[in-house]
Amino acid sequence: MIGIGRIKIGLNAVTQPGADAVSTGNGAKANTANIILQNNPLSDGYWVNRSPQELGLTLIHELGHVYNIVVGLGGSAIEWDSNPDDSINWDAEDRNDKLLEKCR
Amino acid sequence: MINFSRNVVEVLVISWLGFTFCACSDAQMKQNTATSEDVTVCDLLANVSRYRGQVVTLRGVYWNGLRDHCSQPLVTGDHVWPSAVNLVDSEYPSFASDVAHFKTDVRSWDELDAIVLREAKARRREAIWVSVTGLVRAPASYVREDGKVVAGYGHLGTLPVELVVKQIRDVLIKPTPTYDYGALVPRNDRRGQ
Repeated sequence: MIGIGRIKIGLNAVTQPGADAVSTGNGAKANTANIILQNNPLSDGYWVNRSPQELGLTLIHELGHVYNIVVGLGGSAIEWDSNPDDSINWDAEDRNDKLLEKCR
Repeated sequence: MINFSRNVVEVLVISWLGFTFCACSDAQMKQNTATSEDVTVCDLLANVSRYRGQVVTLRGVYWNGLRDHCSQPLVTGDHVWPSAVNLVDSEYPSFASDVAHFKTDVRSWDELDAIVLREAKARRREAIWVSVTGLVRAPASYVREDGKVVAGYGHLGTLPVELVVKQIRDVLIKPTPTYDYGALVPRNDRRGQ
């Protein structure tokens, strides 16, 4: 499912493992996953204010997480980009951005 | 509005009626903010089953969710959880059975986020304490019958508990350089998730 919701102010979107998800220590596995786009107008990532190209890149990024989480999809090169304390791993973000450079 | 010097103590309290600033000792600050009914993040994580499905007022630091430094982190199976709670509003797509029968006071959250954005853009290191009233969502059990640990809430399921926010109040900035608020927002050359 792709939806909208109020997420951390600095983010454009999040990917949440489905209700049956289990932790793998450095990730999660599930049969489903959901993408939530930023719905906070105070955030620079507010989905309404972003261009179709920006939203497309965000969705490709999040779909990379979906492919890593959902069993049987085969994974993706998009890296897990949360630190253990749930803060954003900006180094992983940079590498993920470089992966999508050709899509810009 | 009176703005006191940061190098003494800055206290920022948001009430229903608006913003009020005052400067006082730590003890006075605690009296002015946390109430006896407030639950700390550490208390919640130490007694999740007690609070699951309950509406509580949780006091903690607003930084990537609501958090604290707990001497005993929540450990389930071999998984050590961050001492933090995911925050969502009442309109957030619900993937859980616990439905909130209230609407989030969006204005109280917007006021907090405006402060946080200001502090983030100034690249401040500090701790912004808040009291958040809301519904506690948590799994009935963190370990399944097959021994696997369930995933949690928020981005990539990394947080052990979720709070559906009803209202946010009593914002207090402690200048102790604890959390990097600049890290909450991407630099100009970074896009974020």
